[in-house]
Amino acid sequence: MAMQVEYRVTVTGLEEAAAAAEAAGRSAAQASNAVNGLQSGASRALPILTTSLRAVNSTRLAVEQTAKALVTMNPEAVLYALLNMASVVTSLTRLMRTLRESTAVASAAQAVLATLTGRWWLIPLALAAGALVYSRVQAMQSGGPVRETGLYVLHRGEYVVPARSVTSYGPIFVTFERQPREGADAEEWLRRLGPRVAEEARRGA
Amino acid sequence: MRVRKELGLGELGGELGRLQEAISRSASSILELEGVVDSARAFCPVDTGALASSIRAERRGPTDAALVAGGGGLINPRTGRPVDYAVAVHDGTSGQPPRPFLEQALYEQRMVLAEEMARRTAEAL
Repeated sequence: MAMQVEYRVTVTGLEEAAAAAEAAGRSAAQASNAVNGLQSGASRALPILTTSLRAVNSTRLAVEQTAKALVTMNPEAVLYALLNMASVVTSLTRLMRTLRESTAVASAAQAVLATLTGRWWLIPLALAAGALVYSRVQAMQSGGPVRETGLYVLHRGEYVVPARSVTSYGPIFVTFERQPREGADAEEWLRRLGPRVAEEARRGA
Repeated sequence: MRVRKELGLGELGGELGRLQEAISRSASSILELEGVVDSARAFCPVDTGALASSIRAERRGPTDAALVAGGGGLINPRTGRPVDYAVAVHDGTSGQPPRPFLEQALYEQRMVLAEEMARRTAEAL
């Protein structure tokens, strides 16, 4: 028998998060350049306040929802938040179109950013998470073993045996895995799972 | 926890560029598994305390760590033997129920790890 028990803890998905941050940084730099260009060319002022406020509020709501969904690791909430983020992108695009016709470009853009500053660092993570969730949601219509780690659309009446333990923060996954990973260990665990499930069912857990 | 930082649009690109490094550093930092080790020691059954003392985190790579119990050169003061019974206590035996203290700690702390990572990322910016 082994002398020690060991669980390996691994963080994955850092590359995706870093790429999302880099892409967001590039977008910000491009936006900054565009705004600077607009600032230099004085033109007429237009009433942009209403559009700005709407965009700011919906963005704040979407970021808050996404953050909450990520922390609670609720796939349904993540998808819902993703839809809101998509709507925010549309509304920000509309705002930027309006801003192009205004001389109040800098102050309006800074107002948007200042409102987001409470959790602005979550935006690239949220977008990356959304993209990742969207691209990785899979169905288990015909049942069978789960061959790849990911999110699955499940329906009432379907049954899933939980894997050992996996938690995630947006695109970043923190995985716990018992070592060593020999087949005998997994078989032993499966043998013990039956009585555990029966005991939890008996307790009404 | 709330972080407030007011930026001009021109500064946002640079700040987001720093986010990559901040994410890597916070991931590395949570892999020290401090809270998980404390939690595992709290869940661990104690007789002499040798098994609880043997619980430790070992770094295995930039994005890898291991939560380990048993071995580590520790000696049980009562028997004078190495702490070689971690598996028996953790997984149980035919005459003794399992006390999966490592697994309990990981389940208890899994969301704490995620939240800590977010908090430390925010603090690094």
